[in-house]
Amino acid sequence: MKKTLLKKVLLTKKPRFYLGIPILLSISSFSFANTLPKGSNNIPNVTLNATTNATVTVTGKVTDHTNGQTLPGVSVKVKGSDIGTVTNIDGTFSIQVPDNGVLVFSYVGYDSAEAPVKGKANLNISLQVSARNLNEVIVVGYGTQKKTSVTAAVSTIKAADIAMKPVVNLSNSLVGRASGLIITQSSGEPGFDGSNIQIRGTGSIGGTQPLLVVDGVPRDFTRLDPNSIANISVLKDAAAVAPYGVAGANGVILVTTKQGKTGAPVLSYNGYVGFQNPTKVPTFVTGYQYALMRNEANINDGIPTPAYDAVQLQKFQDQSDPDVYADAHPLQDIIKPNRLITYHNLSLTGGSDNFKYFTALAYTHQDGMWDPTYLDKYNATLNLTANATKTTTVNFSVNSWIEDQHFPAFGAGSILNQAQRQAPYVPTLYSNGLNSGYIGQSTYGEIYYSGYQFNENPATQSQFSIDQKLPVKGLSLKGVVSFDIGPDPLFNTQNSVQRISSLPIPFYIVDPTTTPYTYNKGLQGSQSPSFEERYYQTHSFTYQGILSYQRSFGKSDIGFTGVVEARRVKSEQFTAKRIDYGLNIDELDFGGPAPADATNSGSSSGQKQIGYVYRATYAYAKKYLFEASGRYDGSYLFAPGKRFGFFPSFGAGWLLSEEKFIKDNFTWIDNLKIRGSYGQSGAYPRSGGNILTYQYLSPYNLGGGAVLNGAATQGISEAQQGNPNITWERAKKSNIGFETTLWKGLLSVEADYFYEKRSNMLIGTSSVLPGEYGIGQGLVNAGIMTNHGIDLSIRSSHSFSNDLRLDVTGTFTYAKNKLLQTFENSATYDNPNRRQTGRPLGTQFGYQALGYFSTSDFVDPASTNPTLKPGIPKPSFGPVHPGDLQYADLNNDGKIDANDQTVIGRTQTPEIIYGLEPHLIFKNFDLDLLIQGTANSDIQLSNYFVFPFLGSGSASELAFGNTWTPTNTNALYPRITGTPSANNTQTSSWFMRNDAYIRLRSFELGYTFSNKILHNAIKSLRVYAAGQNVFTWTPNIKEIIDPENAGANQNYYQQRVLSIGVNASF
Amino acid sequence: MGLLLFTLNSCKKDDFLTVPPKGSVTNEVTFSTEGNADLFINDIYNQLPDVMNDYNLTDQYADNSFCGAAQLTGQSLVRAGGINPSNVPTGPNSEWDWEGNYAKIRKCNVFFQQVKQFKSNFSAGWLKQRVAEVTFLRAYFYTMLFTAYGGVPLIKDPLDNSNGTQIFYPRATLDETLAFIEADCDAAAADLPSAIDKTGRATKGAALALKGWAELFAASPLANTANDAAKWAKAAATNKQVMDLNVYSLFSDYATQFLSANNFNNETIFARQYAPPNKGGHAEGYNGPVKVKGVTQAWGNFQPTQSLVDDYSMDNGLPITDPASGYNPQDPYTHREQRFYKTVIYDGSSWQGDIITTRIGGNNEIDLGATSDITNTGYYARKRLDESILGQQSLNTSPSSANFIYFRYAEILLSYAEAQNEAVGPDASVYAAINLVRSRSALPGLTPGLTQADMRTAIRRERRIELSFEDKRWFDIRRWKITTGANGVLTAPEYGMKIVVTNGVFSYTPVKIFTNTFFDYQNWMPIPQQELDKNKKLVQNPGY
Repeated sequence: MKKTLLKKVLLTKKPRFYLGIPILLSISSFSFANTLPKGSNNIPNVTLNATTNATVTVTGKVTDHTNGQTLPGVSVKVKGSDIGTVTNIDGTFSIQVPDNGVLVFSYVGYDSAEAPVKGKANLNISLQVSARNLNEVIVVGYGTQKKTSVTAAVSTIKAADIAMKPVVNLSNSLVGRASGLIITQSSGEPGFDGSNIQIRGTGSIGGTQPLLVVDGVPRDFTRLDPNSIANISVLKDAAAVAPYGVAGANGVILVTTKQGKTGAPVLSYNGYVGFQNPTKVPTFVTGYQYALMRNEANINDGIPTPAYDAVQLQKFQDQSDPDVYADAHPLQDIIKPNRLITYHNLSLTGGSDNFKYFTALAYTHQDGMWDPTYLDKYNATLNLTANATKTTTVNFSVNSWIEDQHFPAFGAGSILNQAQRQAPYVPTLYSNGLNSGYIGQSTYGEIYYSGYQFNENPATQSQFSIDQKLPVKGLSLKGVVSFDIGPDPLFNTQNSVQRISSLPIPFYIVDPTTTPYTYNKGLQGSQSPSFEERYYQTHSFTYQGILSYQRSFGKSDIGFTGVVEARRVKSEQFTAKRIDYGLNIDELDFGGPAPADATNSGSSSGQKQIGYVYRATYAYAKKYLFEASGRYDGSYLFAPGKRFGFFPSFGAGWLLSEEKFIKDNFTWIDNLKIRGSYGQSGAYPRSGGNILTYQYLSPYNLGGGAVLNGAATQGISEAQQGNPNITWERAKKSNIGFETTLWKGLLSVEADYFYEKRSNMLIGTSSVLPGEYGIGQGLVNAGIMTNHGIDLSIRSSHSFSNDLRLDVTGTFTYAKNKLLQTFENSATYDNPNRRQTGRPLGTQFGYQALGYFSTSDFVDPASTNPTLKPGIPKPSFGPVHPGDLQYADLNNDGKIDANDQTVIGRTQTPEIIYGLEPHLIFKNFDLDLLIQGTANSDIQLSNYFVFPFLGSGSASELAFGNTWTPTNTNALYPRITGTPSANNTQTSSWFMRNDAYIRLRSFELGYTFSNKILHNAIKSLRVYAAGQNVFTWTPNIKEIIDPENAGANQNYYQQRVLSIGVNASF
Repeated sequence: MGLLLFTLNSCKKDDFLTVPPKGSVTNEVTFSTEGNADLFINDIYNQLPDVMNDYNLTDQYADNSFCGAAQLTGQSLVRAGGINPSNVPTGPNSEWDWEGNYAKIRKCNVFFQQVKQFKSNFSAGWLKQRVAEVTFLRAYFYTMLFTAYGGVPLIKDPLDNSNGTQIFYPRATLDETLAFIEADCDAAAADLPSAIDKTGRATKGAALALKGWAELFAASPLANTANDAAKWAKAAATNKQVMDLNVYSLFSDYATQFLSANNFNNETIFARQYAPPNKGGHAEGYNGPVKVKGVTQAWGNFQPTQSLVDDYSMDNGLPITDPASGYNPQDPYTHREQRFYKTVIYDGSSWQGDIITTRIGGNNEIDLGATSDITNTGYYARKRLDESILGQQSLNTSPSSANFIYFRYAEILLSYAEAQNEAVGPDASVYAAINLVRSRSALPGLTPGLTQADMRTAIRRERRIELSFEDKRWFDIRRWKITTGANGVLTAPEYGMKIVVTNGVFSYTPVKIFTNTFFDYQNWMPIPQQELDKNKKLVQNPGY
């Protein structure tokens, strides 16, 4: 023992303490306390003889040496005695010590440190993250495991990295922070800005959503209070996901919430205030540019009269008549700058060995781009853990929130559509302040006069668990009952009360024929107010019984976990609507009096699942690791007799760094493990991301019938032809990985290669079933696809001096899939250019643009309907003119039609996503950056901002002067016409862009005040500035579009946020 | 805790997982009673084209109307010569959508199959009446396919690939398809009541009108390439059968027959009903004048072309091209025939208390650049629209309960006249039929002694005027094969009326607003590419 100790002692100059003694685990931060395998090396039992010396009270603070953040819950013990305490939430401690004693600081995941007191009253210690992570514990399915003994591919995200970033929806905090996650945030709208998360890319046609789990129960985590989260695990390979059976094939995200810490009560405040602005706002032409382009379009269309004459053009230029010849920029008019986002959190934690508590209250406010859009979120968290007896631990936790979302009655997509469409000659507001209309719609009115939608989304995630140690050593039984009210992430059901008050939108149209001008009022929308209330309710009940056994016999460590889990979900919805309000009183009771003024509807559904989970682990000499896990899983989704499936997995690992020849010969290797796993996992029938129920039935559904005899009737129709044989999708997953730590943490690498084959993939038959069949069919287990890739994370930590420390973490994820078998008709299958089989799912097909037709391509180029010269393939989308797009005739049949389509783009989901997180500590300053990027994805641009005048719309500023003319044949866009020709709006390579981007995704710059300044007013204080989506570089896209926004640029724009904040504890 | 484990384990696993589906029933329940089975038929009636609630109208595909908004199918695709197998226009409410109609046909076939299986649940009278109705409906859906694509696969029973039977069918010939439709119509007509039905269900008259229309289409030049006179004679005879029912007559007023107050008047043979608010019609909002009292009310999708306006005769019955007609090109809107005023909104017309002016500087100034919904021709239409319904109200609450009429008696008379003229020449019965239609609108009878060709011209113009904006013109110009060629109506330029007022003096100048492009082969719609891709037995129409 003495030898071991000496071998690992590392002497540092200042402050003087010893690193490297394996520590006693502080297990209080995990809910599955008693199932945790304890650290195998205890503190050496050194007898201390100098107890006769005087004692002193030593106070101090423990911080993370990497980022300077205070560490609560650190065990502080007097070496060789039973005297000990634990740091408070702000990392401070106070302890009576013999003045020649030595304090030992130990904490999960950190190297222990020792500090001789030597009579000092104040001792500040910073702990190094354990280079070998020997005792780091990670959360896995239905339990926890020591990281060193894990054979599965699991990446983790530290809550501290995301807690104080100005981000409301937690799904937006994960991108770039863990390998294996491919994340796209397509909208920035408050309340609807959640990211699409894929774990290791696209594995199935049906859907790629991972299973979300909070504290062991399937739940949505995205609206939890970020400061109530302890850690996040991402389960990636079969060994990790097999315990989730049919729900696991797309990966699992496990979120664990904070538990109480032993110690005196600590009250903390964390808060920030920030300002949001869109990352990118497309710019459109000025009024004058618009008029010139319209004139050019008229010429191209053969219309002899210009759209605007010289007098009108002059008015656009001098803006002498701004109500008729305006120079409006509707997007800039409606999007307000510097929108508020703020968050305030108050938490209290503390406890004794037998009773610990954590409780927090948080408030979040986020304004939208315009006033009526904002959200308020209130989170309350309570987590109690008590040792009821010496062998019984009871935990009760509640995570609850209400998210109040406020919007105009018009959706953001419609508003942005109208703002992008509105031609610039129409001012958003007239000079007298009245709001305008354009084609019967008012951009401004849709925001401010349309009424409101108010969604109140409450949720409560509660659970009660009892963990009982059984008389057999190492054996314990845990029961969990959870009752949730709130959205069910698996079945996408809601829990919400929604009130929608729709008002007629007044708008004004200038009448320039009168002097002075008159402004005639019109109404958009219904002529009288309407009001609607929607109630969605989702209740989930989950019951778990968990039997676990952990025991060491000599060199063998044996573990077993068995779980029975049953879950049922009930959801109902009810909607009532009244129209024809005489007075606008937004209550259902006051709608119009006619029976036809009232409508209501409702429906209900339920789900049931049951699963039997096992995991058995065996380790020999802590070097050879074996694991088997799996689940026998049943779901109501399939026909009786076909409801159960079995999903086993196996894993093995070899901790080479424990081998003598490594230890003896390669001392610079701190940790080296290779591991592998193989297993199976399942997936539900999905389409478009939604789980499809009852695919085995051929039901007749009720719906609306014709109007007969003057009244609407009910109708019944055949809904689908069921597939009684439907069963699970089955994923066979293989994973090989290695983990290493070298040179005391100067370099750590964790790398995984994965290969997955999804068979029995559930796919629809619509692409092969003849149109004459007349009805859709239930999904069929007929598809096969593979997916493979690499997850990599590299970390380097180095202390340049005691004041300067740099940590850099890089993550890299690559995933590429291939469809091996799907339903594909001969038109595409037999054409090598168009065949989907054998290509990645989501490959984009279209026409290969060659460039523009030139005048020399036509017999009579000046004609209104010119004829292409013989030999030039003829497009079948209507007549073409010089300046229209020419496509490749790939099958050489002399015409351009669907048979000429080919691959023009990769998938829109990036194949590569990476992050670089430099982390710098300099004295009291800390800096955290996340530079994140993607590669290997393409996006097809569409809509007004690339097609001038589409749908009577406007034109982007980029299009001005950038369209084909006889003298500008090398233009970015084809010739303009009054409405874009069908030929030019075909899906083609011309509008396909490489969507790669690099983003400064976030930064955080903090300053921690030293105790000298604070004295005793505040225990700790840190101020910081942070940002999100700070800077984005899209090297291959000239158009102004956020790379995560869809190609039409009409999703609510992603937001750049800059904020300042405070962390304080009292 | 052990108790929990025990409880979970002791459940029979499948029973524990049973969650009955909500909102659906089985076929046994659906066909257990007449009342339940009626719900199944209610759904089939609901599959009839919902023309009132689509803004893509076939009059926009043809030369009657220029689309209000440039992006609509008529302008951007059909009249740009752009119809191709990947982009088949399908008319209002997907009238001739390939898969849509086969889904509807399947509903009919399932009905026949299921009522046969559960025959004992129904009375003989109910069964006879309902089977006849559904037989008529199946013929209607096949006629939609027939008039668009020609011969189509004839599916007579629900397809089922789980029992190993054939699911890939080739196209039947034109004649086979027509014969199938005729047989269904005959079977339906035999069992359906002849009296006018105000509930909206099929009648004998409806079945015969449908049959007569299918036969007229089949006899016309597009389908009757050999110009077989017997086909015309068959169409004449069937339309005559409707006349001989002595159930229908022309309604007194041309304009108001379309309004809700006159739903199921004596002229209506078959129509779709509407019931606000959830099942009302949107026609006023989609089609009415764009700006009323200075405010954008509607989308203006009825925009009569100058060529349609020019086809309205003077009130003396003479066409404006006749020097004796009294037509003054600088005062074009006076002394025109009644139907002009009941159909067209022109510069100076009143609408909803406003005077609509399309002149330069007017409140609905002709939009020569096609930059907005406002009229591109200088005209809007008022036919079929209810002036008491504001456009915005219509758009948002669908308040109209006016029927959409698929077949009315005037069409029967004109179809008879056309078929009879082609089969035997302009005999007295031809004059009688067309003059009956003309006299309702206070027009004199046609000059006696017209040649067959002159009579053909007269009938075609009468049909265009009488049935404008009723979803008929598009079918007529194709079956007559007048879309292309020397005077092709879809190859000629389209004109609008530019009106300039100088010192109180109006000047009227027709201006070219658009050049139509259309190709002869596009008279038949292409079979959608995706259908060809899936069913290799299908053969594409020539030219595509």
